[in-house]
Amino acid sequence: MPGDMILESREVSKSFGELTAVDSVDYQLREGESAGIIGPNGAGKTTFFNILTGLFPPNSGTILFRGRNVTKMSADQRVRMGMVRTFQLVSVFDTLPVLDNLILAVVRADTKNRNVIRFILGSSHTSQMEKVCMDTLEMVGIADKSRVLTSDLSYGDKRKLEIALALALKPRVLLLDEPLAGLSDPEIADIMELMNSLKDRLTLVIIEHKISQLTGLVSRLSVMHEGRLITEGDPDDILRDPVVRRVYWGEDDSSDDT
Amino acid sequence: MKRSTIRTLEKFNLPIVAAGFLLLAPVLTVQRTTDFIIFCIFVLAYDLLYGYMGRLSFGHMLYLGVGAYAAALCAEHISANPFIAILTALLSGAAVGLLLGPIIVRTTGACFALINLAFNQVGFFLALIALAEWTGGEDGMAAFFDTVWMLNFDNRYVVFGFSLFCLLLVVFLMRRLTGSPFGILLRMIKENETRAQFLGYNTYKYKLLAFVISTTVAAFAGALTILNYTYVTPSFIDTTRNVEVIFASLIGGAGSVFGALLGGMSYMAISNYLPNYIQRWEMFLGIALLLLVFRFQTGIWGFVVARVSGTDAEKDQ
Amino acid sequence: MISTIAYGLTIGGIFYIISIGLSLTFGTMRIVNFAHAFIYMAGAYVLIAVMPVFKGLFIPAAIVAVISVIPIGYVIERFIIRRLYGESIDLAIIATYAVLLIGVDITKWIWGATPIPLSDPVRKSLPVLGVDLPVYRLIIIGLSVLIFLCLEIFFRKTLVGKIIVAGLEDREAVASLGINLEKYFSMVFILGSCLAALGGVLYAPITTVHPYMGFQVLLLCFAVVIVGGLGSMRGTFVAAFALGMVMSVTGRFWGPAAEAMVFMVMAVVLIFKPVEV
Ligand SMILES: Nc1ncnc2c1ncn2[C@@H]1O[C@H](COP(=O)(O)OP(=O)(O)O)[C@@H](O)[C@H]1O
Ligand SMILES: [Mg+2]
Repeated sequence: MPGDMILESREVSKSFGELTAVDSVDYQLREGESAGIIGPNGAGKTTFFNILTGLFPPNSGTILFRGRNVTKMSADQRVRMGMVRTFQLVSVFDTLPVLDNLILAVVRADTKNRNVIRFILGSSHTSQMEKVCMDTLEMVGIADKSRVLTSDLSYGDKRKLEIALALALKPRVLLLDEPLAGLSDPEIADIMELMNSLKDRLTLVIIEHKISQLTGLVSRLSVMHEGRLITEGDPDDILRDPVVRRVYWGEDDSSDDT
Repeated sequence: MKRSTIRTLEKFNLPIVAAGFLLLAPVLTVQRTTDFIIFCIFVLAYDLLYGYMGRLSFGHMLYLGVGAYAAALCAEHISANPFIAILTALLSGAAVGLLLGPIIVRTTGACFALINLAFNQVGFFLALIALAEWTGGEDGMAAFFDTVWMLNFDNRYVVFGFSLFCLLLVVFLMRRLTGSPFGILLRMIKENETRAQFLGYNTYKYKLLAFVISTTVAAFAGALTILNYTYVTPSFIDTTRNVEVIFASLIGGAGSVFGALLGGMSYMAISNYLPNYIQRWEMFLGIALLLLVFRFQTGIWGFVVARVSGTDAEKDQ
Repeated sequence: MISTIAYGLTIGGIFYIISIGLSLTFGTMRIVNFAHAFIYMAGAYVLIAVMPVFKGLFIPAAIVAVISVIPIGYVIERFIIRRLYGESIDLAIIATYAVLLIGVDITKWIWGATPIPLSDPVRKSLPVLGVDLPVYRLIIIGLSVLIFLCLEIFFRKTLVGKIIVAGLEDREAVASLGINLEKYFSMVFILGSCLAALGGVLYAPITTVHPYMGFQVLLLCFAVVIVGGLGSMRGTFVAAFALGMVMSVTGRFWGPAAEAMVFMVMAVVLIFKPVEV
């Protein structure tokens, strides 16, 4: 099923002072694929995402996205090309109502809305835009809270909102950084269901600590350790790999819920 | 007051603002009310940056001054037609915004405040000394305008009516700007600019746009000031005067058009009448600012809105 | 030429002494502390007030002036700055500006608004390469370098200094070690305040003392801090002297443009430097 190469990193490295957080990582992702990245805390997974999505540039190496070298492109350009992410610590706009969080994503995704004058002077709450927002909120299951101020949402609902924000941008590739972290069991079930429904529609990369959840969801699992990509392959094989078991379980058994 | 009252207020904002100032004019005298109106325009320009985009400028008097001097210079050298003078002021405000904006909007927080302040200081120097040949240095310059379309700007009532019309125009513009997707984007930039970039927006471009709109509208207020007073001196753009507009933004409630209007009115009322009773004006201003920062951050309008939603929430239960 | 350089180094030295406190508050809190200008001015006014007590002797009066701002600095830190942790940067800036306004007004209340001149306390000149330079200015240059060296040793060698530097770089990390940074930061604040007062004391005989003196110097010191890199001690040192030279060289050709030139340099630096604060 997977198609052409859509996202690729070549020998990407990033250091913070003396610490090499990401060390010469080669990574490939094919269109339509669902992939997972696991690794203990501090392995460099989030840093790798940050480089892929353009939060900061790598010290060396290249990022290719949809056949173009995007290494020097800004984050917003990559988003416009279809690379969308969520953050490990949920990041939504607390000072705005839930619905207003989504408006700009909807405007961005809708090609009919590219008119600058309308963007600057037109109403932000046309019924058509609101409807798209509501549909997206419906999809993640928080449509009833559309008028609430975002800071009043629970952490789980904020995470759902952040996923809705990502979906409203109509991504080609969606990168989720620990989407289950900090959630209660029923909320985890909701998000799992959502991710399962998404994986047929777009290319998905998921960083996750709860490895058990990933096995059914992704077709390929990569393992990071101390900045390096140490192995990758079929999820079941990876989990049986003795090296992986050592770096992962040997180091911190309880990390399953951090 | 109920929430529906606020909605009505917002719906009929233009007639309400107009009626308010028309009623105020006989009480305060026409020229003073014109002063109030022009200051409100300036506060609106300022609040787009501070209240909505979250960038505190400590040098906005410069942009006001650019407008005033541009209008005066136009009247002296190019044309005494007041409308051409205003147009010149608007273009100058936009040009200064486009020139300085690319440097200024890259910064945030303390740096943003200071670099505006520094440019304000440079502008003060230009007006006072470097360009004294044109600006008249410390003595400043006067400007006289022709009568166009039967509008004689020597007449106080004409200036008043015209300023009020301009204020309504600016209020309308600001409400459109802040009620648009662009307005939401500005608020997002205020809260978390990086996150806004991850929604696919080149925030730099929009910050620059907001900055240029703000400097242009500020220059507009400057041009109106010279219609009202017919002269301008460098003290008009003294850096220490920036606190006035900051104070107005805060007391009215930053980040809302009504807040800016209330703030402009409140500051003008305080500064026009209180110094007669209070000798230690700067101390009063300082203490009032501290109170605003520590006890009354949402300002008058925020207070009203909070009270209203508070009573509504009680009713819901 | 020699005297231009000497003048540049003198004001550079004064800029440095005043800017340390600004830079440290910038580094610890990310705010610009306008109240710093008030403390600077307070130093100069206290100097003038106590000079007659010491029969016109400069050094004891200067020491009293520097020490006298400790309670002022403490009150500002304790009741204004510390309460601003967690507030938005903008409100913090406004609050410190409010303190400056109050301070200026108190000064006007006590001493009036007329400028007070002060004569050179050393009254001697030293011929350097054929040019007579006031010894007092040479002392200022020497003193600022001495302070720089002392601070370098303090921040690199002592435990307290190291904690503060670590706190400047990564507040959370230091706080997570269970170290009460607030205590250290208030020490830093008071240290910076004393140096600001020293700056005021040293500059007073060169300029005149008036209630708005702080505002002017503060703007220039902000430029120093920005050019030097926010919170960077060495950068502040270098920038102070560089901008001091800019001022004196510009002033030599066209006096009134001196200050404006400093701001232009700052703008140019900002264009080429990525700013993240
Ligand atoms: N902005 C940063 N500055 C300094 N160090 C960082 C920064 N971001 C991450 N690190 C360090 O890089 C390493 C990898 O972190 P991260 O990518 O967050 O790991 P993971 O997401 O796998 O838990 C960690 O040791 C972390 O402390
Ligand atoms: Mg992580």
